[in-house]
Amino acid sequence: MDLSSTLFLFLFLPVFLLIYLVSAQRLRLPIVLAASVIFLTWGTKMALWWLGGILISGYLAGLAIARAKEKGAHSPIWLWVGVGVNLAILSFFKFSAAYGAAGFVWLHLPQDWVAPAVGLAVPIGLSYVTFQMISYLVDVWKGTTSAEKNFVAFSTWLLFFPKLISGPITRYKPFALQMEQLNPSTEDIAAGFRRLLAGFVKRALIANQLALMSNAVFNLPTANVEPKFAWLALIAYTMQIFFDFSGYTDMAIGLGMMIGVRLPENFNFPYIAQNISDFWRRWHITLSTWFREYVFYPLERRRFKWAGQQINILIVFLLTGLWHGFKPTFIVWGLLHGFALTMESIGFGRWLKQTWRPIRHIYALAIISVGWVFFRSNDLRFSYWFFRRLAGDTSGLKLLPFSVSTPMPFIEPSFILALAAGIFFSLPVSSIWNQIRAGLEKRQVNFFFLFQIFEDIALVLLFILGLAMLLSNSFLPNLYAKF
Amino acid sequence: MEEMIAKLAAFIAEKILRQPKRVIRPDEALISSGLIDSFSLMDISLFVEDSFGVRIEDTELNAETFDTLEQLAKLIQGRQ
Repeated sequence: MDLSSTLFLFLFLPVFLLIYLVSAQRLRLPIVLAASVIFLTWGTKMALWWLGGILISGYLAGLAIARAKEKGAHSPIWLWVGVGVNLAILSFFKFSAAYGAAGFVWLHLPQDWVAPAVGLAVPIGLSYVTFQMISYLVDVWKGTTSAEKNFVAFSTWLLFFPKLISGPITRYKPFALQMEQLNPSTEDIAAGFRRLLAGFVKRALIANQLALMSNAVFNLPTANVEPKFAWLALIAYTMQIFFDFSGYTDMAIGLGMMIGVRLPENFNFPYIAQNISDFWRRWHITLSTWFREYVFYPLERRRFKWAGQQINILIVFLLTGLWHGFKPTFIVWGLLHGFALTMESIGFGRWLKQTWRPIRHIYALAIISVGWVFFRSNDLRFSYWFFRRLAGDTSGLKLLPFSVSTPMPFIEPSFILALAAGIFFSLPVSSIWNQIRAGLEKRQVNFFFLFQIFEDIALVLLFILGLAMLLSNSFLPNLYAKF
Repeated sequence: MEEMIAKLAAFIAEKILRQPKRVIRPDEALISSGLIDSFSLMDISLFVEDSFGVRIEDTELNAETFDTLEQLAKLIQGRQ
């Protein structure tokens, strides 16, 4: 179930909220868990088996790690078992999704074993669930969090429906502390509702409109596209992926606020980054934090003397690429970012810091955009030809029927509007707006009351418009759900 | 405490920023301001471990745990 679906917004959410808010506080945790299980199994029953397996094995591994530590064990055997199970399941599904049955030939396994497993849909939220579980097991081993004995609390953290499909990746301890008191205030519920609507509007009115152009180009079997449309598609995709994913995160955080749980932020205006290191402090923050804390720093403690840090950066970004999918395009995307970061970690980074600020922005946006070409292309051959189109190469272009190239060669006004809105709102205008808002709330209480009403009306109108467009298009990709 | 801050400031200016003459104020934001990035945080952590015998966990290497020399020195003192 997608958070933007009418089923979720007009049936699941109202029913859940009604039951949740009228229930006694002690019942709220099991209610959230029951809702999360229903959310998970709705339409994809297989996901419950796989995620349930990860949940139970992780729960038992956590207890086993804690018991081994109590007995003074020095070898983290249960940690490796727990982490191994998660990585094996994640790798299997990523590999199967990328290569199908042909990918397993080299294993020489009996056909009876491979056939039923290959072709299974990747369970929703698998990448997020496995990474959260690994962080929990490592934290228990390090002693920074205790092994949870309460299975309901543990399951609620892992399967919490607002963050189940696309994060944000949430560590156990900060979440567990909040589960002890699930009692959202009226202000929390109102603020959460506003955030949910804003996230929906970002996805439906910006990401969804831009997707029509970027999909038309990137879904072609070859990069048979005029240079101007290649540029438009690239800019459109750059904005689409940000507004789709950050909109989804806004919805997740808003839902969390309504339940009384503060989920971590995942974005901080990534396209104003001044270098790639800055970009990764602003883009998918919870994933980059996870890789930094659970992969990069442990590698850094065992750094090679020669180019050790650069090798570690490349390893981390190779893994970041693989996390998105076991495809060469994701690997190249990850390594491109890794390579830029290795350059920034040596003299180039110091030189860059001293250059004119617009140059730093241009550098960062260039790397990010080139990266998105690999990220979005189905294969490297498409990427190669797409870059040639961007450079103005029109050789071998064929005229496609409109049914294939639509909406090209036309550029709809709604696309231009969505693109302009995307570029405008990717700048930190909402931060400035929030500052003005906070100032009004403090100094002009009566005026703020009116201001808030108008702001809410505008948000609801945008939501209705977004809903109308969503229903007319019946199309809303959640780009990060497939990871 | 002042001696500890001076030692940390000298290490950061010389080894991390490569600007030995750079003066870092005890209350100057290091991480949130972008002065120090995540590439250098492990170097600081290992320096703290070697010089003061205090381990800072990998999950603590962020601006929430310490963002200034003052906060870092307090963290070290609290664990010594």
